[in-house]
Formats: sequence, C-alpha cells, structure tokens
Amino acid sequence: MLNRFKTVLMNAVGASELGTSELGIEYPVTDGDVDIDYINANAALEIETMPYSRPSFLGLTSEETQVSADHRVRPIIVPRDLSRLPWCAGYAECINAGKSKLNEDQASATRGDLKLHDSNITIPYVMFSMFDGHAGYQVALSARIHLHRIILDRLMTIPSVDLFNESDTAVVKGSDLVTGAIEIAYRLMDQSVEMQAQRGGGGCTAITILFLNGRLYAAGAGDSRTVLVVGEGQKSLTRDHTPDSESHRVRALGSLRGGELLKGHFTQLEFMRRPIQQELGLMILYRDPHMTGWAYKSLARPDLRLPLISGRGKRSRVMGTIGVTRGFGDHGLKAANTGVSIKPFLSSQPEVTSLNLDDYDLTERDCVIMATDGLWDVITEKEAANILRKTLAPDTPSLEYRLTMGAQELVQAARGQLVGRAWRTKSENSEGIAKNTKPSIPSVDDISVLAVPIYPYLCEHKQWIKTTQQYTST
Amino acid sequence: MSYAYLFKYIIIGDTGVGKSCLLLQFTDKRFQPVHDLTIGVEFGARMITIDGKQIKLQIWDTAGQEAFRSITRSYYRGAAGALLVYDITRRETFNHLTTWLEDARQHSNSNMVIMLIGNKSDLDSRREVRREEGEAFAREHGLVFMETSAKTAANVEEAFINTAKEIYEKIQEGVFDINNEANGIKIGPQHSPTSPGGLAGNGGQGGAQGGGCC
Repeated sequence: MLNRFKTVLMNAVGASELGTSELGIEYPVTDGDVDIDYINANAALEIETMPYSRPSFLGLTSEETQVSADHRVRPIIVPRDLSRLPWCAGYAECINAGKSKLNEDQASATRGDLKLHDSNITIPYVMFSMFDGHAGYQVALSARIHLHRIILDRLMTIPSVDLFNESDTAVVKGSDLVTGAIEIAYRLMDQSVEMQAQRGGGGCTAITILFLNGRLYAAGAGDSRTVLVVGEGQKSLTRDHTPDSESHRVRALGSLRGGELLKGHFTQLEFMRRPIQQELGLMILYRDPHMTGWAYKSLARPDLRLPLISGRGKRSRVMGTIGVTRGFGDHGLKAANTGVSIKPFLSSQPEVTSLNLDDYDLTERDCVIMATDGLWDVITEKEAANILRKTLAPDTPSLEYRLTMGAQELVQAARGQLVGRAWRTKSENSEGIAKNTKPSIPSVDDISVLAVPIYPYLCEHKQWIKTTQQYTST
Repeated sequence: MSYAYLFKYIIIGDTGVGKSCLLLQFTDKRFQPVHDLTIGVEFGARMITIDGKQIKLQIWDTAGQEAFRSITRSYYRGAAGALLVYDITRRETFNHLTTWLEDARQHSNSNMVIMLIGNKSDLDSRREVRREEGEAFAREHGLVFMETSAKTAANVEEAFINTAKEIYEKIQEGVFDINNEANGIKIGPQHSPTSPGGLAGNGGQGGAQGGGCC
C-alpha cells in the first residue's frame, strides 16, 4: 500500500522531468515565514500516523486543541499570531454543537515563489484552501497537508512561455494551463486519499484560491463556497455541488449502460412526483437525464425503484446517502442497505474560475470570503458581505486586526449565542443587514471562515513586474 | 499529569488592564511589556496544589474591547472562577466594573467565584484608584479583592490560587455540583466517582478524559 501511495506521489509531481530528490521532487523556493503544510520526502510514512490537529497557522498546542473543542461553549478561535497568514488574512473557526467529537473543517495557507522548471524566473504565489470533512477528520486533514504541494508541483511543470501568455490569439492561455494544473491536482489528491481509504473512509469538500501572475483563481468541489466582496457588491466564485445542483450529471452517470452502476436498486429517472405501486400502467410525467422538459410514460415496475436523487436543495441526497457530490474521499462508501458503490457518482473535479485583478478597481477593503457550509447554510452572501464591510469600515484598529475581527464576526453571526440550552442568533440583526431576511436559525455545524484581502497581492504583483522587467532588461 | 479537579477560569475586564499579562505571568512566569490586542480567546493552563490535591486550572483569557463583548459573553458559561481586572492607573477601567459584573452575573452560573483584581500595583505613582476603593467595591458586591502586578508578579500567584481555594471550599461544602460540567469543574480521570456517567458528561466534550496532557 505504501508503494502504491508513493507511485501516486511520483505521478503527482511529474518526477521524471524534475530531477534529483528521493521522490524526484524539486521544491520551489518558499520564503519560510508563513505556514507551510507540505509534503516532504517522507510523507508516505507520515500519512499513516498523522495525528489530528487544527490548521497550523493557528499555532494551537494539543491541550489548546482539546479546550477549543468545547461543544457547549463553542469558542471562536482565531490565530494568535496574525502574521502567520499571508497579508494577515482573517481567519476564525468554531466547533459544532455536538454532532462530531472533533472539528472536521480544515484550512491551509501557503505563500512562496514558484520556480518554473524551464526558466530562471520565479513568480510569487499565494494559496488558501478550506476543507469540510465528513464521516471522520482524516481526509480533510490529509488534504490540508498535501493539496497545496500537489498543486505547486503541477504548476511548476507549466512552460514559462505559456504561463505568461494571456493573449486571445495564443494557442493556450496561461490561465487555462493553471486551471488544468489545479484540476489535475484535485484528482491526484483524491487518488492519494483512495490509497488510505481502507482505514476508514470519509471524505471532504474542498475550495482553493490561488493568486498567480495577476490573476485570482477559485476552485471548488462540494458545498464550501468562495465569495468575492468588492466595493458594495459580492458574487460567488464557486458553485455548491449538491445532488440537487448536480442532478443532471449524476443521473446521466446512472443511465450509463442501462443503469449498470445502479445494480437494479435505483432509478435514474426523475418523476414529477414519486410514483406508487397502484399507478402501474398509468401514464406519469417523467424525464430522463437527457431532458430538461417533461414527457409521459406508462409506469413500469423499474420506475418504482428508489430515486437515484431524492430531496431538494441542502436536503437532497444521492441514493439516500450523501448530500454533497464533489470533493475528496468516500471511496468505500456504499448506499445504505444495497451495497451499491457511491463513489463513481461523486467527483473530485473542481470547477475553476479565474479573473484578472486588473479588471477591478480594488481598494484595501476588498476581500475574498472562503467558508464552509457552517456559514453559508445560515448566512446569505449579501449578509456575509455586509458584516465584513461593516467590520472593515473603521480605521482603527489596523486592518490586519479588522480582517480577523471580520472573520470572527461572521463565525459569530452563524453560530449565534447560547440561550438556555439552544443556540440562537441575535434577533436584532442590526443595521447594514437586510431587514426582510428570513429569521435565521444558527448553524450547529463546524464553522470556518477566511477573509482574504486582495489588494496586497495586486501591489506585490506590480512590484514583481517592475523588478522582473529590470532583471530581464539588464 | 493527572489531577484531582480541573477548574475553568475566565479573565475579564476592560482592554489594556493586563489580563493577558496576568495569564502569562501565572502560566509562564514572565512579563511581556508589549502585548498584542487579544481578539478572540486565549487559553492557559497550570497545575496547582490545594490541600494536597493536584488541581488543574484551565484559564480562558478574553478580549476586553467593547466590540468583542457579545463574543466574550458566551465564554462565561461553564466557568467556576472569574478574575475581574481593572487598572489602578486608569479610573475609567474601575468605573466600568459594574457593567462587567452585571454581565458576569447574568451569563455565568450563580456559584461562580469572582475575584476582583486591581492590576499594575507597581505603578503606584500613577495611581488613580485608591486601594480602599477597590476593597469597598469588593465588599459591596461580595467579591474577593487583591491588588497585583503582572510586571513584578506581586500577588499574581495568590490571585489565581486564592480563587481556586474558594472554589475548592465550595466543593467541600457541597455548593458546586461537581458532576455537572456546566459549573466549570471537572473531576480528574483517576478521581472519578464510581458512577461512570459522572465524568462522561453530556454534549460530547472533546477529550474529556485527556488528563494525561498538560
């Protein structure tokens, strides 16, 4: 098993092209002063015994980790040393109200200079990721420790001549290659999780943002979400992947080769309403995965099987079992009472969007919010953006504090206060927050929030361009 | 290290009165003249001995800024002791004690032992609050009082330990229900009463049996 895992790593880093270390990995230079959760040459051994921990930029001792896991108080934890996150990005988290013993969310941050394999040029990058684990903490922990390294190893293989070319006439744009690198890295991450899967299974969602070459990339697999907050507006950069939102893709897989993957237990057809036995032979409204409209058919016995996708929105499920359709892990997961394997319906493929930061008129208060569904289940994007804007607006204390305060406010807004024995949100959802929103129920899930400022990156990038031009012209 | 009891403390009071410095002096025996603003909550722990029994103090140090008040409130829950701190060189931090006390009484369990601390006693030349005023306030509200200096360490040990002694006495008197973790007291792993349900508590407290780690 160890060897299989090593093989995956070898593939992950494109070892043959790169060279010299034990695994053939030539690491890019990192500046070392920021959190680095990464693979080293002994990773294959470490992964077997990796103990539980919180994100390393929090700097918690194991005792503090225990204390922070207080399900009754649900303390909101922020980094002790704010400078351990790039640009003093804000971070806050709190544990669930008792649904799992440990906080199964994870987050990582890495910054450094990417050294391209075919050039002397190094280019600064910054990356943040967040993971929401389910059925155990292992997969999220593993992703926290390894995903960034795998992404970097893929980025290093991009030819420099392509990476810096964003021209519309180019055969391939740099941004397309970066997108491809992230997509491959997500798949490799999932494969390395599969190697460990014998131990317990479980899985996690994943979101990543990457600042590189003046662009912001946002990748997401699952229902954690990234939202851009610029000026008075906000927009999501990633899309939630639930059985409902991915109904088409999942049911299309289910219809392959006459529903082979469903083993006769489920139907990939969607019905206007769930048919019952008494209606056999009657005409009912249905659609198959290739349709957006509806059609009539005569109800036959196979139509009475359990629906491949049931429920709506957050409550939707694949085979009545899982409510998220992309992410890492869940390789051994079987649908309840049937033994039908769920994995092929779950995908590790992220959807990646990228934007050119020069197209935005950025100020130092513009941010990206990354959060798990502990936040988004109970707070709308607009509410979140308003809470953040309101916290960042004053001039004191300094911005670095206010970013952390903003993340803390967001976690607090989602967690609410303990009133008697139940968690409640404040009824006076004060100014700045839309008045007519539905009365919100607080989240009893793990809640994690990152508030990443964009402006400092843009400044760094412009400085880099200046320096590099000087360097290349001499 | 195993312990007979674990007491949970919370440190409260205005920003800049020296809460984090008191914690640092007590847990690490050092003074840090410039301390960053506490934004969230910090944890400290130390083992002490009372009546020949090992007692672990788990201390939650909170942010003093008004902006964090609503967050701080949620940490009173499940605290057995509170250190309410003001700065003897800043009158307004003394004036705000009533508000802090109301907050504490409203959000904590009624048996919580509150120790009033006038900190920065080393800065006597800049004193704005007389010692007698502190004593009077404490008497009026039924608190224990002490002036400390996180810088010179004067009375810092005593402040934490005397609070623990009060809690310990209350346990002996049967005032605290030690099987209810909401009171901020936990019985050590080896000292668990015969009923197995006693320690397990409710709400799945993470690592409740983790006495081995200090």
